[in-house]
Amino acid sequence: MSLLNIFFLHLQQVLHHRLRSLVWFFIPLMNNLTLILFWSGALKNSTPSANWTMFSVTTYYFLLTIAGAMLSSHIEEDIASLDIQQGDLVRYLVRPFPYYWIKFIEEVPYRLLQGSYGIILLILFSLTFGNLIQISSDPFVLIMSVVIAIFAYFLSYTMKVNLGLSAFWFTDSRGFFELFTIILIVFSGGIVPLHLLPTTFQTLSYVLPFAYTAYFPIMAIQGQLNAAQLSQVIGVQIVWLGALLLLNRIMWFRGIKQFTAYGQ
Amino acid sequence: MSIIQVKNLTKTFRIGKKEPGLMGALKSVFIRKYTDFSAVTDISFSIEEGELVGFIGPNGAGKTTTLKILSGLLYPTKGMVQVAGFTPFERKNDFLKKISLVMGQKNQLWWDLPPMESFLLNKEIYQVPDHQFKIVLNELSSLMDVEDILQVQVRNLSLGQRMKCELIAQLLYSPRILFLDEPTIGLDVIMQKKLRDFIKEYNKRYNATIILTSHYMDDVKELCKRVIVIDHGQILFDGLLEEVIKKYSRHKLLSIVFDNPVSVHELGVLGQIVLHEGRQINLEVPREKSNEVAAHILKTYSVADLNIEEPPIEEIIRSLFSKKKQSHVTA
Amino acid sequence: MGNDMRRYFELYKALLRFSFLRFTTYRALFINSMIATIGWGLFQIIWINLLTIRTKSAFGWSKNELIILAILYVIIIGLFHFFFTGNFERFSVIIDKGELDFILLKPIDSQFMVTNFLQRFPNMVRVALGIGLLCIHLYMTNTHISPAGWIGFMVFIVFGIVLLYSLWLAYCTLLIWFPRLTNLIDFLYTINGISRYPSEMMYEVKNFILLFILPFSIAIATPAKVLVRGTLDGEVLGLVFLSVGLFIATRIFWKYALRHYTSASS
Repeated sequence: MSLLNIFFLHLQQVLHHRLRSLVWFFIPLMNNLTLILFWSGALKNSTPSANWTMFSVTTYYFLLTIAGAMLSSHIEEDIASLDIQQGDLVRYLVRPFPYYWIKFIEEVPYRLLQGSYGIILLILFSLTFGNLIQISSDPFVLIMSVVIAIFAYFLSYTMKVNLGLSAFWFTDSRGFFELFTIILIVFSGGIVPLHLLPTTFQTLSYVLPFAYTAYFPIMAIQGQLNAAQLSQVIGVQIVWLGALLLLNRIMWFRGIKQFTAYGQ
Repeated sequence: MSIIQVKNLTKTFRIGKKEPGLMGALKSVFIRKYTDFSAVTDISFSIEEGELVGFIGPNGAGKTTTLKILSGLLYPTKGMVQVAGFTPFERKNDFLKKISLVMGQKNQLWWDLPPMESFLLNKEIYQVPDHQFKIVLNELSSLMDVEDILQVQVRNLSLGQRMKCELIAQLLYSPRILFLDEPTIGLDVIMQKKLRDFIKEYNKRYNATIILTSHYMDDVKELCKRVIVIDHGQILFDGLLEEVIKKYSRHKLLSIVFDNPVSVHELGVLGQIVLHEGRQINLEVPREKSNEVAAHILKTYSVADLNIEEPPIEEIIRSLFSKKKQSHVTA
Repeated sequence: MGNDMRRYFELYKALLRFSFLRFTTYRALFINSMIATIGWGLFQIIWINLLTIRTKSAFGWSKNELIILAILYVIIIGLFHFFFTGNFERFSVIIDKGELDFILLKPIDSQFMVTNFLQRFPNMVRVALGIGLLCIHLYMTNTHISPAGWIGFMVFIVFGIVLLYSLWLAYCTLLIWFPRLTNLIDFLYTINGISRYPSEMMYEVKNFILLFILPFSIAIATPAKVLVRGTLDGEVLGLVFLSVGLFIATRIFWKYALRHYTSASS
């Protein structure tokens, strides 16, 4: 069987789940649309700000929806309950490829599907509200944004893999996952963009990795960052990615030893 | 008046069809094709109180559908159904308290709690008075021999113990009409026997009307005097079991494993060879002659193993079905 | 009639006991659900504070009122999740695996049995958290609530919850036709979240699609207004009519769906 056939088989499966995937896409879309609606009333009574107008609000939340669909990974549940707790992990251990990459390839079709929904949304949106979108047209900025987006996905993916691997040591990690999600939402700009946060929290968010999975890619593609800042963002992403990968290796080797020694 | 009456019952389902492959998946986004599937067609029968009737047929014959209609879970497309004077699909509370539908592989007991808790819940649901509950529970649990595991979490019980508790849960309110759908499926031989004994006892003790579906001939042979044979949604036979076996299987099957190769011609005289694989030969002989032929073979040849079997139920049904076809042709 | 009521009351007590036993069986589950519930409760407070960080008011609601609305959301949704959500989440399993059969075989109203089988005890913590936060907030901002406000509030919470219940039931009954659409439930959580916003916001959008969402918005915002402003205006009447009307309509819809339901074949 050729690789093309395998791809088509996967694609078929993904199409079969198209409705479910659409609902998963709709959910953050709804949340963000209502936020835009909220701001339409709230902005009238807010302290004015140069980069928080109806234009930037609308663009921000639309891009947030797309970033959420394309750049955020949800692999932790799969790893924690199916692979580690239910023991499916043994199937992966006998394969010649690293677990990290196999799970990566497993998730890609879903991200592609969600990404295509996002792109359709973007096209529809620019057709209807073209004048409300603020996206940079500078080719340099766009290329840098793509780089930042790719790093953003790897950051999200590695974080989530590590989160999932915590199941090696905790039998029920749901509470922990929920807490993590809450912190992630707040510090990645999921409620409001980080430049609206009070100063201490803002600084904190620039240090933590979460902002680099959504907020900064959005800021980049909006053209809000100059060349130096763009490079800085990439720099921080690389540092965090390195740290998370190191953590990943440690967790993996320690965890596997325990997993295979005690069974599941 | 019979406690169960079924007249001209028909049930058809609409099923969505999907073509295989990528094109099929894409097409099904836009157009959905449906076909009509007839689960049961124009069947009629009646059952008296206290009867233990076997409903036999191959998979997909319509057994489960009929039981579900009798218990009110499905609406008949056409025809009349009456159980204990009620119309099942109206699902009146008084009706539901009289019947019990036990489906072999499905479980109702809550996984994380002891069976006793699920029993208590059922007691509330069926409004079983306290003293009656105690009596029935004691009877059933001693009959099934599960008194000491009632407080053990269901997840920690063996499959056999779980099934027994499932059954008890379903019988706590003393239903007098039982519909048992493949109750012994997936159980080992010992459990199957225990379950059959229990069903026999329940039928005798409480004069309960029981309909049992199975595709295990042994279930039916041990429990039912009367059988209804159903295939492809139609009744092929309704009468005493011994009649079925006598009428429609005139042959018995001898399956023999010989120590040395044997002349096929010689054996062919004794009966019809239906299987010949190396040293295993299956011989079809007339029913009356089966013992005689078996004894002769054992005397004449060196035999490693010999079994006398009834032809499988599928054979009987196939022959029943072809008889029905024939009668249509001649008529 | 009275006999029936007593019977269902006794049955409900048995179900409560059943749920409580399950809840206390596993300590890890217990701790994790507590953490998750408290976490999300606190999240709502963080959320509204972030949104109103530089905002004085929105849609006629002052910042103070918006925060109270968010806290009330925690309480009311907490109650809703305690009584009903676990059951709605089971809908797709029940329908897909044919477990609905077992429920239909019982001499109990199927709607009652399906929507009241489980209670999620961790949410009591969320409700307590919400009540605590409300008291703290009212004290710290020196906001006074009239007795009529409190009483009216508690009365209209009931209507609000009945409204949410009917809405969820209506959407979940659709699962009988589309058993695979299991993430409909997650979608409903999101729409629930719409009720964190002032209902006036919904009136802004003259889009008929929002007709499906407006009721959610009214469910919580209206009791909130009764509490905070002590007024009984037209919206209150709307809430009462909507909740009673939808309750009846969804029950009819449920019965209709049951007729359609064909159990999963053996």
